[in-house]
Amino acid sequence: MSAMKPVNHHTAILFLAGICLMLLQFFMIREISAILRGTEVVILLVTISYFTGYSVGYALSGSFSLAGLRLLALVFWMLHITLPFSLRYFSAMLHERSPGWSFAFIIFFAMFLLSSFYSLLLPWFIDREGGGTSLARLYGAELAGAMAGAVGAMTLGAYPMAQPLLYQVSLAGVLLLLWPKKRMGVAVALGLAVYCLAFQSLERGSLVAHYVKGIHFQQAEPLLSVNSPYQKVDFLRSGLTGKTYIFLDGNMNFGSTSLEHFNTFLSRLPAGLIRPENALVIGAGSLQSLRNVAPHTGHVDVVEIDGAVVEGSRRFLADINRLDTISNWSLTIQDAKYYLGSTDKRYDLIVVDVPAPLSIQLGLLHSVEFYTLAKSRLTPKGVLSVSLSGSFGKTATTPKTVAAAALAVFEEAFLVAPDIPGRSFALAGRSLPFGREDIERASVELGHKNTIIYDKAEAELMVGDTEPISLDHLSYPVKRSFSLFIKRHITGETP
Amino acid sequence: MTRTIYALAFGLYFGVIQTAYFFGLEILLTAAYTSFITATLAWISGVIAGLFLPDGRGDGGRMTNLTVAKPLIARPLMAWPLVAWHIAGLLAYYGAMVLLSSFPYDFSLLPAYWILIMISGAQAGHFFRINQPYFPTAAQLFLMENNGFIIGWISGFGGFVALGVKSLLITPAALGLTLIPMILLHARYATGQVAEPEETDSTYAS
Repeated sequence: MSAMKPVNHHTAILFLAGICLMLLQFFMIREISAILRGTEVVILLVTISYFTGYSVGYALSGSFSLAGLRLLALVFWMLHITLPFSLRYFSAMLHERSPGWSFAFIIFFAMFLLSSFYSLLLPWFIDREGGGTSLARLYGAELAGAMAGAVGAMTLGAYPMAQPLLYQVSLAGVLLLLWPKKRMGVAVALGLAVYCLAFQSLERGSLVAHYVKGIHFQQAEPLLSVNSPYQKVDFLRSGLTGKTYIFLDGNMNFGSTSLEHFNTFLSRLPAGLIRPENALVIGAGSLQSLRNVAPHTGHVDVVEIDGAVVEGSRRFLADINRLDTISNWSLTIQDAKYYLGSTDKRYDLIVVDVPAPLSIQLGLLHSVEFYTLAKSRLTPKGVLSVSLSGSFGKTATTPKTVAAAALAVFEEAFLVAPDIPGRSFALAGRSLPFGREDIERASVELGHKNTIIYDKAEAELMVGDTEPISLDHLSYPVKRSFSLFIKRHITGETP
Repeated sequence: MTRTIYALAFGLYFGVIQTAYFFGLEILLTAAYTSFITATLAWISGVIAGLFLPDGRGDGGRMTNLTVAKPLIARPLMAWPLVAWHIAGLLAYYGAMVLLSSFPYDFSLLPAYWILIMISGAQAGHFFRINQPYFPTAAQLFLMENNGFIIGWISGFGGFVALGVKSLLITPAALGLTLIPMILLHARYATGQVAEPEETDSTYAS
């Protein structure tokens, strides 16, 4: 190492720093967002803090001598080798006392202690080398490292330890190139060895602390935790109920009894009524909707953007989805918009089983344009069944917003509010092959006698002038996630 | 106009155009990670290419082997290559938007999007390379550009939330065209035709 030319040294350091920066951007921002229960506003704030960290590093760049830089690298290494576990433990501890303090600490961490060290390095070396052509070489090296980091983050996300380990190895490389001493090499090697050996237990322990203290999920037992290209995917088992839960970016996606009942309504009720030849389920989740639709259908296509969710459901929710009993289905891992936009198939039933519009991406799946696209893939008597993400009523804004989009697109619709707290859904189409009485009868068969059903005219009166989500009006998911953010992190309410 | 405002403004522009690419691809191609990784890698590879492009000074644009800033400044900074790069980056963006809206959900066009994003990214790399000599330290250049980038990222996001797809059509052009007079003025400061206000320690035309 000591035989290395300084210029090559600098280039190598910047390359490794680029890998670290990109890995941080992928997996640590996701970890942090999950700790804060990621919605659009949370992800936005964390990302801004991360990029502000770059400015902090640039601003401090001129303040460090080589000795100071080495010391800083050592301090950063000692701090970052505890990630992501220490962050989960510490934020959980703070959350127990005050959600606001936990949030403030995490934003402070993201702003000052995440990316700032790496961003400090680039101008430090450029100025050290006297400018000139060194900027192109050094910045080019950092960007090449960033590209390698991006590819690594995308390909290694399915393996729980891979991303953090690649990050730790790259950071260790930065430290050793900056401070090439034998004793440092030994310390770093020891640190990495301990990190690898303790990973499983620390990962498990810190996840439990986060869910028990931060989210009040008692007796959480982690089954699977991965960073997919889209979100942090956690499968947990409750020690109290023995049930399995799915959490996406810290938000419960599947697990409550009412949600299970509702899924049955959303998918089995229309499938039982129309007996479709071809059905499409958008959003796999637990794959429970597939189980509900498949027995009544010729063939079911399932489209899910995140393969990690499907993989987890196959492994840990087999008792819910009973995939071993279903053969008439196929799975496509893809964005639903792309799938609908590029397929020639026509469906008798499309079930939209996606989470509430708390992000722009999810908002687009509840938009006028998306429903228009879905309508174009329905047969003339085809039906769209979509969750309204809440209990439909005059004061509930999310169900009204989702309903407004469906009502704007489809000629006929029924909004159905079964006697399940906080749940309702819409059945919509050009010419629905069933009437109100059929829905009432099917509801009773599913064990619910007090289902409220609104036809299109009644629903339009309830919705009033609520503006639907559309490509020209995307503010709703941000407003909704902002109010949720205030409740969770500022006022401390449990929404 | 000072060099700090210039760097801030370009950072803002790069932030806006990057978010606009992301949203455009997410809506009209796919929200799958293919879009995100294409935009990220294409932009970065463009920046790398831009770092090694001819620097657009009055020497015919040959690569230099200079190791200090001073001699670079002695050569005049020509405005037209900067404006040309800027317009190329902007046209590449609108080319991508036209392709996306004409052929939505068409993955076969992914290589075309890669090239177009790369052209826009190349301007960012070229920006750093060309402007480094006009800042006392590289840190100041990166700091100002990054501050602008954060503002641009927030503005791009906010514009998209407030105006929807209209913002993807309006904002980059409005901002991009506003920057052209700034480029012309910057080139005049840099070549010493006009005295720069405020920053007396400037390496502009020293």
